[in-house]
Amino acid sequence: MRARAWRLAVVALAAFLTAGCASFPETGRLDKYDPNKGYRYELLEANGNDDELFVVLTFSGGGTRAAAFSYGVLEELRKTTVTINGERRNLLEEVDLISSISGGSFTAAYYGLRGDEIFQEGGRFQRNFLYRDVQGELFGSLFNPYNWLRLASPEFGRIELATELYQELLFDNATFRDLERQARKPYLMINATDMTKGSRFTFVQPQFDPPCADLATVPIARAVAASSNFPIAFTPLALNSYPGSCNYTEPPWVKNALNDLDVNPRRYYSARLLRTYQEKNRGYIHLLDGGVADNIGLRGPLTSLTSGDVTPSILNKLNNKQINKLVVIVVDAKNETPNAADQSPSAPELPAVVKSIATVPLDNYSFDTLELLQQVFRERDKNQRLQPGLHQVEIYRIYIGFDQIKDEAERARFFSIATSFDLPQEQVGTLRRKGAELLRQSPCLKALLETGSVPKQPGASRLCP
Amino acid sequence: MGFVSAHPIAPLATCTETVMDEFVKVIFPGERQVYVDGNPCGFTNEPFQVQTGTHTFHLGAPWNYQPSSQTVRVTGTLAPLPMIIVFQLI
Repeated sequence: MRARAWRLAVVALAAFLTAGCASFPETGRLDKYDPNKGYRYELLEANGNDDELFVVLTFSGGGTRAAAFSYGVLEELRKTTVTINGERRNLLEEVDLISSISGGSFTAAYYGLRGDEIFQEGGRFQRNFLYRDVQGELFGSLFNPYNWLRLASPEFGRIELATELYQELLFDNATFRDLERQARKPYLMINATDMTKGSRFTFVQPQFDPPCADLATVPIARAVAASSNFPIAFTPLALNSYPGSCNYTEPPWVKNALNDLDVNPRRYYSARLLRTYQEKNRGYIHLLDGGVADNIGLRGPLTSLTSGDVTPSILNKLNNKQINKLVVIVVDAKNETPNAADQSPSAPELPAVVKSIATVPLDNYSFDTLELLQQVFRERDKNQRLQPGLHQVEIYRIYIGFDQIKDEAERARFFSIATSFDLPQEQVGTLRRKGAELLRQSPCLKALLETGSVPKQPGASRLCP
Repeated sequence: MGFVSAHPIAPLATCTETVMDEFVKVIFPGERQVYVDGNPCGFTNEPFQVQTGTHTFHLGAPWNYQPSSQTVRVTGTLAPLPMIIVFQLI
């Protein structure tokens, strides 16, 4: 009896000591920089999905609302067929790239990792995420005494509990090495925010090269947790950084861009940002929710459309005549919760003020990002008409958002859906159906399908809308 | 009262400046891939688009041309009036 009590005491002490020393999972060091290894667009296999029809999807943040809405869009894409060089394929098989934020990252990552398994009715994604009270389980994990001990460690934050839950529910121990081995499209761009630099941080190997970190060692659940790392509710997620340890070679554009502050400040600051990941004293990178830097996930693809400095560069693919039809589908689950402040002369309460401070800049930035996309496409179309020697590409911009719902009462109902990881089942079903319906009704999707098959040869310039 | 622009085109001009489109045509006797800042980006004797700024151009292997590379700042071009960059066969 006494021996058993001793054993229990030893186990309890060991658990206490282990928990007290808890730390975040270490990011592996990249032994040697090699642009021909790692999770990179160029290393994915086409498997019939060539670049002639290049389809980009972006999924916004917004908790389960965003995850269900983007899920509905995936379902509809799977039902939609196109003819590519005489072969009928569903449009989902043609998706080349998905860039996602926060709630949208759950859908993007699960589809990227498990493919069509995501669509199984009552399957793991639906059962363990869309129709589950994930928020309650996250909250519940805070009441586990073992976690109290772990959370006492400054190197183990609440975000690590979220990572563990997402592994258990959805991703198991899958890492980016699994995506690298699968080598299949779509290319996932799961976005978080670099807290100290205030910039977008994407879970792809080209982002991990300058700090000599090996993305292949990072669990996919960690990337999703970082992307949906709602500030204050969670702690920032830390990655290890090993600058200067892998013979990293800076791409040639960086030196050139550092001369361009006066003519192209965006490029200049991109070069400076890249160099911050090579600073010797930067041993860690702390990440916040991707929505802090870009809440619709469009900035990465937008940079790819306008710059040859990134990989993949859609601009370079256009210049190399690889793309004949370009489709960008933006799935934006932005809500507009009612605010009664203007019905009263009293000063709004502090939470309402904090909410405005937190959301107004994000919403304005998202709006400008969408405007910029439209502007980039208009300029390209105009320039193709002015200069027939440019590669002539057809461009389709498809925006899927609640403001496209025509019925005012229904629109208000969708706009009022909360940002949460626990939505009523009926709401999740409605969001799925609405995402599918809005895509199906999109005039530019209809225009794309009406053009018939995608030929090897380019056609005339065309822009929709 | 707000500021009223004396030139109605000015706000539009400012707006389009955020899109850093420039156009280049690399002249060479024969069709070759053009590399911009180390990446394949278009072909010789055809216009293509780059972003505003300094770029290094070359034609890759075989290295039968001169100069071996050119670093040029590309600004102020239009699609119908691209910057011309010439490589000579040796």
